Amino acid sequence: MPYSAEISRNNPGLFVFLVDQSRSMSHKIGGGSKSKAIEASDAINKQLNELLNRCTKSEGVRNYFEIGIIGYGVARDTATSLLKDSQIVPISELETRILKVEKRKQIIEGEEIDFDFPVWFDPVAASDTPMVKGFTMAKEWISSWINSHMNSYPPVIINISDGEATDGDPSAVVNDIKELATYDGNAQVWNCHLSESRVTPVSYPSSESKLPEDKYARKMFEMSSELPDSMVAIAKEEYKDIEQGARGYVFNAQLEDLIKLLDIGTRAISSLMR
Amino acid sequence: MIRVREFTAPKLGNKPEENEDYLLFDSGRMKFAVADGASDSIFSGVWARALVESYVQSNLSLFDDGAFIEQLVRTARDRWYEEIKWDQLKLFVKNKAINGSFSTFTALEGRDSGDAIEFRVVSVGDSCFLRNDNGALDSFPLSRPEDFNISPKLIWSGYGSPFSKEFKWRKPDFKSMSFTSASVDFVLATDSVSKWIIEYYPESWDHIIDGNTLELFSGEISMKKMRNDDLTFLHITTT
Repeated sequence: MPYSAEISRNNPGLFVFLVDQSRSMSHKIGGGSKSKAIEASDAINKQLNELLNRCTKSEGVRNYFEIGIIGYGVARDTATSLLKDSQIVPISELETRILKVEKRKQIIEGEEIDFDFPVWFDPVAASDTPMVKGFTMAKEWISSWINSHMNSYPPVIINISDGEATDGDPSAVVNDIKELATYDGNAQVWNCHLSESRVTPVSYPSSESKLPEDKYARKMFEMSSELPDSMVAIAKEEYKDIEQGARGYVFNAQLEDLIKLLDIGTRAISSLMR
Repeated sequence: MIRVREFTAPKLGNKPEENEDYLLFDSGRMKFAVADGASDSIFSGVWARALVESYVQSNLSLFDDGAFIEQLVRTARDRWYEEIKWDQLKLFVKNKAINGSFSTFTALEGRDSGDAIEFRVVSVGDSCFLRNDNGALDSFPLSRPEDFNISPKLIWSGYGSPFSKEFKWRKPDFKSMSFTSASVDFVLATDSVSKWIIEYYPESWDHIIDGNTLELFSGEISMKKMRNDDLTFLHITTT
């Protein structure tokens, strides 16, 4: 059965995050109060913390996952790794690559508790949208990773963007990525489409007929993989009307939807951790 | 005279110190217990051990219906809290440890009542008491393979530091049963072994009595008949 490989230190899973750093990411999310760049970086930093939390045991962090983060648009026609001096790293190495630690508060049992929130990268909204470059970099990383991880759960690539690529059509390279496979199945590509419009959000559509009128929505939907059954089951807890054939695509995502998208993936895959 | 065969091993591929199951018994006082620390939480092995030791090594008794569970959790929390060096934890360990630890717990206690022995079992979660009764299997609290899932009932340690050792305890969802028996052929086991015994009984019972348990379980895991998990059981008989 595909998408059921045990995730262990011998056979870790892989998450690659792609984040749009183009100028338009400085605009606020529709109905939100923060820029898309801030929401995207906060969501990924939170999700990295969540993944680390799942991998943390009494003695420290176990390498159940490997992580890559690619930013595209920090400068014209440029995609770069957001982890300094490295591409894909075992998750425990994130401990040594923390950019800064923010003091945050959480309420537990009515008591306000301080805790240290690590941050790996800051929001950036700078230039154009070289999404093809970003996916091409991801393809190179993943091709190399898969060669030495054929028994692992297939890689999951999560792209967070607000629109059209400025360096061509990413469909071909995305299809190439979706063809990359371990013995457990093909790589998954998910897209989180951040929008400034106040159109009703769409989460995990199963057909184009469910998409809103947006010139980039169809392209982003086509680029998104069908969710494995295990993820559909978890997504159903949040989205009751999700159907078989649902794709890893959310449109007009607010921070909450973005976090849910990331969480559904990590929860489904983490349940296979041994 | 009570005879006990014990077995505990970590998941295949893990180190012994990564085993989050724990067992302990005092056959003289007829107290037996197993616990399975939840791998989702941190310091779960410490919590499983604290629960089992707090019961077996103290005067707490399963027959003390009203107070047992609360006394067990409070005693175990003290042990758990004192064992962890809260001020020396690394960032991610500290952030996770505040949420506390979780574990199953199943214990068996016997006391003489003339010709037979009166037994009592208390259980939280999916670690089971299993009884071979003239060729029929009784299992408590779960009795069917499909009863085992990834969300068993658990005992919570309470929050870690910076919360203090004093805490508002939450009563776990526990089950208990009593019976009298002249013969003893019992097993206490954590979830994977329990499920395997139930699913493959009676052959599983025959296998567990003797033989090379690690070799047996490794074979069952490779044939997908048993989940690769921490594996623990106590087989209790009379000679």
